[in-house]
Amino acid sequence: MPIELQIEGSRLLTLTMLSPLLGVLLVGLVPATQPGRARGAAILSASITFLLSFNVLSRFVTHGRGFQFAERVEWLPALGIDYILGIDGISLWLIVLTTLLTLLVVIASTSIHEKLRAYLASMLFLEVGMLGAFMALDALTFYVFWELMLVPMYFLIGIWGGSRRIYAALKFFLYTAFGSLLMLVAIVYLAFAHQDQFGEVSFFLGDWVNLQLSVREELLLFSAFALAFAIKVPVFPFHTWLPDAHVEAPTGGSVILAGVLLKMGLYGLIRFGIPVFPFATHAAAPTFAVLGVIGIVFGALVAWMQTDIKKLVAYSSVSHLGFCVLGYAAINIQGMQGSILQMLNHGVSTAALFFLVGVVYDRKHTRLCADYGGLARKTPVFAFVFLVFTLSSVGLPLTNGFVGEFLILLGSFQFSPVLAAVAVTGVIFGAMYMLSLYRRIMFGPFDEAKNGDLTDLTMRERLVFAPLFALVFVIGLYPQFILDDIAPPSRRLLEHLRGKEPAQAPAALEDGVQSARSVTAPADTDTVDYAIRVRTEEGVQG
Amino acid sequence: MNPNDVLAALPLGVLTAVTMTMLLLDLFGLCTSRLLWGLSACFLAWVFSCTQFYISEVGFSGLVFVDGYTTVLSTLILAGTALSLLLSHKYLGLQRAQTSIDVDVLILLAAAGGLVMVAAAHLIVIFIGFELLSVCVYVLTGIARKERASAEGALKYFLLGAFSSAFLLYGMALVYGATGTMFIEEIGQVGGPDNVLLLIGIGLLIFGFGFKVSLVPFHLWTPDVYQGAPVSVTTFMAVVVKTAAFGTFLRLMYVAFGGMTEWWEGLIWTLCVLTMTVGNLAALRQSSVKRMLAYSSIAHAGYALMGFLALGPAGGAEATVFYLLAYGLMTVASFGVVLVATAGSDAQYGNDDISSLSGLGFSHPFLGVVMTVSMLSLAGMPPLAGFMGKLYLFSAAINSGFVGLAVIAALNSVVSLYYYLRVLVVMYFSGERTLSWAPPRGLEWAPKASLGLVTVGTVFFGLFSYLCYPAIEVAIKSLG
Repeated sequence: MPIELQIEGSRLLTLTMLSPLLGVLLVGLVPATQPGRARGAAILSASITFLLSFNVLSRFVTHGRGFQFAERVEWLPALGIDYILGIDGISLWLIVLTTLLTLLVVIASTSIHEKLRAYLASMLFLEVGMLGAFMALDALTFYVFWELMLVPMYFLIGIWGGSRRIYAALKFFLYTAFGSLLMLVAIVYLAFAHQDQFGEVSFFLGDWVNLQLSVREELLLFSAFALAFAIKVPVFPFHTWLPDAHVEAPTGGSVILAGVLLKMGLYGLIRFGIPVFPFATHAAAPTFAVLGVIGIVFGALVAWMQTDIKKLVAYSSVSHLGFCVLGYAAINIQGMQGSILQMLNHGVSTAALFFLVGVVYDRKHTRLCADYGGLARKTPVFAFVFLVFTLSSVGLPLTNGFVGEFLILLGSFQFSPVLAAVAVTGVIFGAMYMLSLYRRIMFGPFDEAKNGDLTDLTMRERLVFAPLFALVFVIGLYPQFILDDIAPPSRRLLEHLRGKEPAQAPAALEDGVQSARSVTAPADTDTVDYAIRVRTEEGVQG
Repeated sequence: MNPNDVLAALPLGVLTAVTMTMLLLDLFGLCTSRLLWGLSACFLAWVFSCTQFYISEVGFSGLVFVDGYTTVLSTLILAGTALSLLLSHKYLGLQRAQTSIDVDVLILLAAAGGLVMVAAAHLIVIFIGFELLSVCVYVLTGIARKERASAEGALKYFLLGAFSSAFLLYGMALVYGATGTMFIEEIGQVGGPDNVLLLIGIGLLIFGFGFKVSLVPFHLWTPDVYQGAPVSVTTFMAVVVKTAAFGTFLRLMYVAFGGMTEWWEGLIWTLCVLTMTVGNLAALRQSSVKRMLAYSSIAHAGYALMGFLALGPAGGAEATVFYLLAYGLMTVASFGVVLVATAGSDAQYGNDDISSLSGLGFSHPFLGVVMTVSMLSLAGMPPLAGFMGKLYLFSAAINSGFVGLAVIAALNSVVSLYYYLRVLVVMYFSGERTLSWAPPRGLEWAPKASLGLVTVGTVFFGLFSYLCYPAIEVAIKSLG
């Protein structure tokens, strides 16, 4: 799989990525006594970034080759490290999601009353890290941005978080850093493996594709990468930091954490894992698939038991990301596309759910289901919006959640019918916990004494939900405009994986691995387009 | 005198001459601006040491090197000295220490000792520099005469320092006995690994330097001395003494014993792993900021030692020198903040609990930013200088096949994150400042300049390490 860089002189990506720094500067210049103006400056900056990313989106050529808008600048010649950016259809939509969610979070920052400027600056700084990580094609550049995301998030949780914020912030930081430092060693190792084989040190993904690694090397190095990514996803059993971080983080932090940061892990597995470690990806696929299914069912069951709304949504994330992992591990076009699409869907619907939790929390300062009830009568707009995102999260046909989950199930069925069957129960559990949540909050008796002063969504809040609301149906009805962009890079990745199944790998790999992988799916690219089209048409008619 | 002698003598001569002039002027009450004198001494010495940069020769009949390595290490030493002077300016009084001119003079003379050490081409010259440096620092440690901790630290440092000198001298004697020469270049040519005497000598030399750069198990003095000394002296010790000792140690191992690495690799590997692991684990348990930073400096000595295992084309020596630069920047920043935040309070001797920094991030945003950058850099977060230093070290280690060591170092970094992040927790997450006293809001310009410079430097050398790396490469090339 040669990685082509379509170098462009415009430096569009760098500009987009660094544009939030303008906001950091502006926010810093505003005096502390004028929170409104600081927020205005941040909104302005986040809007500029969003428009720039929209510009990238509009100029992106769907069937273009390689990585577009690429940039390559020598950075540390002593180590052969270049600053390389470039995007394909996979990163494109994640970037747009990032800029959109950041903008919404900044708009919704009215709930932050203390140290607002620091909050906005952290958020914008975080955006730089996220965008950079999605754009980087040089492993070390990627690593720099990957770690850069940790610090602002740490502050967001630690300063503006709930009562156990210090514990949650530290846990978040240490878990992630533990994985990533081992990944750093693996990155450096690969760079010098390239020196051994090709004569020069290189951290560029495109060079690493050509590496010839022994089976043992490949498995060990892949483990180092996979551990870092699995913690970030998080794959069961590495998920324990997630509920703490989510529950303690302020609303904006949770939104970004669920909406974007959780995508980093799987993105890393796809961007780096597949091209560099094709054999190991195959070898680890059964493990990932099983862990993904465990995550789906476990997350759903635990979510069902929760009395804290935010915790419930957090565990539902574990379940949803289990689907994404399952789709990735299926190693076929349906699974891959579904996985990537579901990442975006989860970003839309779960981010919205966290916003919704924030809405009631800001008003009543409690997140327990038991404190609410009967809200449907008191706050009808809120109840309606909540319903839409609940259904999207459940994966009702017509909404975005359905398309992603359907594709993943389609893909995983070819991979292993048993696992797919178990995963389907996750969909059912999902409906159970989400609808029971909805019932507990929205229906039942309304406590006038306790919640009598509850107000409905303000204009500002409606503005925040509007784009996400639209996306639920746009993706639900016509996912093709995203799938079209995702398909070419997904096909390239699968092409790269084809013929590198463990059966063809040296003997050491075969033991115990091959038996687990019973069905090898033919990556039939037309099926998926057909399936989607049929579903879409059904949706329209229905 | 040939021209090389002049080049070798100038930086040292200028430094000592200015220092002596200061003493003399002070006698008549004429030395009004000690800070200005001190800074100009450092600056002039640095300018003169730069003249050696592109040369690779010896001076004074082979007693000292006149080369790029000397220039680069002198730069680090002089910069560290200047930053310490800036930082301690006006603060010694608050630290209940002697405030007369002796302090500045001792600091400058210690720096002169450091310059002698890094230039030395002969074992005895190394020892002379070593003693000049050490004796000055013993006195500096005890400069707060009325504080028990300070006196205790000085005594401890002196006794253990004397031990290390003995190790060093004994090692030198054995090496001389085995090779018949004390010129380190000649040792490199004469010495062979079959010589047991030489191997014991090398071992003792490593132990001797191990004391000075506080490698485990020779680190026991470090926490007590770092805690007991006035913070401005601790800063100087942590930066300048360590840089000088490490620089000399590196040159010695590279030039004299670089040809027989397989004979001491195992020892250095063990010391390296022990140092970073023990340093980090012990730092976890500290409640005193200064002790925590002391153990952290031990751990960082362990990281820097990784470069010794990858001398030559793998780039280990370069990585170690770059790490000394990064370490100096972040150490001045962290100790500097502790200095400014505790000066004048009871927290500076003995009970400098970490809570003395509580709420500092919001009550003193400047100090908060400096400390945050420094802690993140010490923890190795990109894109700061500490990360780049670790990256160069990891690369060198992996390039010469020490993958296991790199993994151990990476795991150590995770451990260290915990205690570095705890400082941020205290500064930012634990609510408003509750202590009865607070550091003055408006800082003096001098400490502000010092802290600002190192913070900018930490970010700058993180992003643009390629600007200074060629100079380091020239320096290492001059080692031969």
